Amino acid sequence: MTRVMKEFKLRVFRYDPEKDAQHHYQTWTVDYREGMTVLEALLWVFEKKDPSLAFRYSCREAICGSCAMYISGRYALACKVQVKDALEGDTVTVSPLPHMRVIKDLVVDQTKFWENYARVKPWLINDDPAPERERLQSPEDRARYNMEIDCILCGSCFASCPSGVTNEEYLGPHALVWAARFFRDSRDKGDRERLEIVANEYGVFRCHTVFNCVEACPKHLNPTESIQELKKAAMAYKLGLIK
Amino acid sequence: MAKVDSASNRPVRNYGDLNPRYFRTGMWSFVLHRISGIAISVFLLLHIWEITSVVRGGAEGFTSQMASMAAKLWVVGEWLLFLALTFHGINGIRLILLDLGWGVHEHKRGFWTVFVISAIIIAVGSYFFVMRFLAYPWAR
Repeated sequence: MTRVMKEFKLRVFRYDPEKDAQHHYQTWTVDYREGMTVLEALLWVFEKKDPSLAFRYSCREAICGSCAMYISGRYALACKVQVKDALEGDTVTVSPLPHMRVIKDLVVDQTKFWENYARVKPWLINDDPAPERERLQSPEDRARYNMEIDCILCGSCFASCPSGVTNEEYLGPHALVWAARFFRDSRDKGDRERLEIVANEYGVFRCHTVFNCVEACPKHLNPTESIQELKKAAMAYKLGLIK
Repeated sequence: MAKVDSASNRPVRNYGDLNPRYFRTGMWSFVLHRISGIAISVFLLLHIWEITSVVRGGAEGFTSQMASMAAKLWVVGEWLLFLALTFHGINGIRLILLDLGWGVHEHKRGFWTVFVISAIIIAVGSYFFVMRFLAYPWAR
């Protein structure tokens, strides 16, 4: 586009539980600035047009995972996506993360997301007496879960997964990524415990390899890779091949 | 707008991502796999109805049943079944390979491989369906 953009339309999902029975979309014309992010545009509306607009954000640098939203057909962090990359014509459409209950405007109820995360016991399980200093790990063993530890728990994958649309009991890609993170950790002794949790119809076997989580992840992780590794281990475990 | 009590019990959610416009390759193969699976199940029911004509009318009943189905409409149905079986079968192989851990990092290439192989088989097979379609009458 050779023409310099002066302004664009920001179309936002609105829902106020105290006033509305259903959601609607509201559109504002926003002054554009080179390099403007979608989060900046939301803040522009919040400051200049409508202070009742509700949305989550914190760090503004794609590491806290608070501002995950559904932006012009993509699951994304509002602070990371620039307006120029999210335009559909002259409009950027911002909706809350899909399938999760909307509390207000762009804020969704993350209860199930965090409950499912806790279900896989996302902490180191090792009852051996602690050594004098730390539990050592070779650089090679440490590198085995390089991918999983980059997860910022933003909720994009959980909201994108069609297996979770009708069933929030499904652990979801984020929880399975964290199960794999400890499953791959040489210091962790909770393999059997975690396989019990993930080797059922609400765990790895509900993953239909749709790859929406891979498309959605703003940190470019591959949750399907983690899930498929757990799936193979879960099969071996259920067949009695591993103790 | 006043809050409607009965409606307010139903939580508001955003289902905007179920719009096919925003489907990516994985979502298309997921949806097509399910649609073709249902189509194949419907065929199985029809197939049971068709072959049990021998129970209802003996050898004669079976023969007349088969004869009545040598018509253009059924050829179209068979062709749709051929599309569903081809895609479902080849995509099924991809899903099995994925579950064995293959191609997890190349999911788009996997989809397009299934797409191209299915398209070639469908293109070749469709020739025979066109020949049958032209040879059969509209109804008997």
